[in-house]
Amino acid sequence: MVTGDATPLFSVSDFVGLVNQAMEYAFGSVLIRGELANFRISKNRWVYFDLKDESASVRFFGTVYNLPGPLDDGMVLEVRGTPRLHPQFGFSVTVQSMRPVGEGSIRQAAELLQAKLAAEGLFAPERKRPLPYPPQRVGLITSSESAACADFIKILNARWSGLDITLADVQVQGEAAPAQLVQAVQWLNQHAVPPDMLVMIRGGGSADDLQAFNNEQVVRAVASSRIPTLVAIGHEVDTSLAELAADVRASTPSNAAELMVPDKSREMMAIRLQLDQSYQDVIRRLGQQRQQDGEAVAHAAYLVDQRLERERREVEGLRQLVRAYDPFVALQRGYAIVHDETGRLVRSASQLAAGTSAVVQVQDGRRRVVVQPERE
Amino acid sequence: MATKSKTYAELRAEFDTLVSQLQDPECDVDQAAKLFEQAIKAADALDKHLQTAENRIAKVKLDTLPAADGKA
Repeated sequence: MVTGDATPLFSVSDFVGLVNQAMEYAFGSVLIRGELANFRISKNRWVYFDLKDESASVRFFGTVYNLPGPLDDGMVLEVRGTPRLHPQFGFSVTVQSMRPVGEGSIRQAAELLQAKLAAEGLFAPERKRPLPYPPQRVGLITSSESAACADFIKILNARWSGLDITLADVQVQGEAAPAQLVQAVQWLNQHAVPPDMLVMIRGGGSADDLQAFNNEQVVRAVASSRIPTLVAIGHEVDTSLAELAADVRASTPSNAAELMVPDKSREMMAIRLQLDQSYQDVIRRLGQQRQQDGEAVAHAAYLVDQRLERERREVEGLRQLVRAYDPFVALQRGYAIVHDETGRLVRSASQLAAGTSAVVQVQDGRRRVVVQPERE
Repeated sequence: MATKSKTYAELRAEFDTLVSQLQDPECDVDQAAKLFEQAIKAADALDKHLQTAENRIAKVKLDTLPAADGKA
């Protein structure tokens, strides 16, 4: 409708629709930096806050999924969103992404998130799992173009062989980084043949450059990975929350490669040493067995000796017994043995008729005698 | 048909088994000699694997991630 002075007249709804259409056409999305004020979360889901500077304030609306972590009024944020005129509640910017900016705000956000996640036990030592050593399949999450990635691969190639590495090429800084890092962790975890371990690396940078690794969603993704994780972000002095949530933290990407796999020349030296020790074991056992064999022979000889001695004693006993029955022993005591003419042993006087001869044997010889009749 | 070459972990497990058998006090000298010979071959295989195998890298761009089951 057009009024008499050519000024268009709208219904309220039409006007709201037109403004939204014009803003969408003019901006698409906007990036606004300002100080956080009136921050509140409703029903654990909806997020309301203002961004302000010295002379203006703008309202924002989003969900908890947009949050990089816990926030506090006074922090400086950079928020990407779409401006919108709500039919009932007026103008606000619907949040697409948000992040703290400036060293102070970044540090404060990280401290708040660290306290929150520590209270949930995400960094607890008892959650830490050992890494497979060495792994066979590795899921590597980093930017393939980065110097950190090149260093990592170079050291890995120098130290170890035969690894299957799936490199999830992600942005490691900037607005898209947190979502890509989370997606990479989840994708590798759901892989049909999952890697033995995940490695997330990034080289050094400013607090702003590294803040994706202090993002709540990223830290939670690392902590909830079913696959053991190794995270190395920045230089030795930098510690991100993703590193604290990882099973193992390395001080630098190069250090991560060193922790992951042994040096192959040292490994082979250790194997040869083990082989050498086994050889020494075999030699020692051979010596022991020879000694045991010698001892066994000596023992057998002892048993044989004992047996022979026992038998010798038994023979001696028998010999003495036989000696006791020896008739010649009786001859020594004065007895005599008499045989008749036919050589039969005389056991009865009736065997000796008068006039016949007999042979009488005494101790020292024998004599033939003639039998006389017995005197009355 | 070509057989799949063994991984380092598989070769290492074989070597470790042989060494533990060698260390078994029940293992007699004849058996130990055979096991030792096998352990030397296993160590040579490990050495060869480490000298010749290469690290394989498959790069996947995040915006072109295939489905987790391997399908595109």
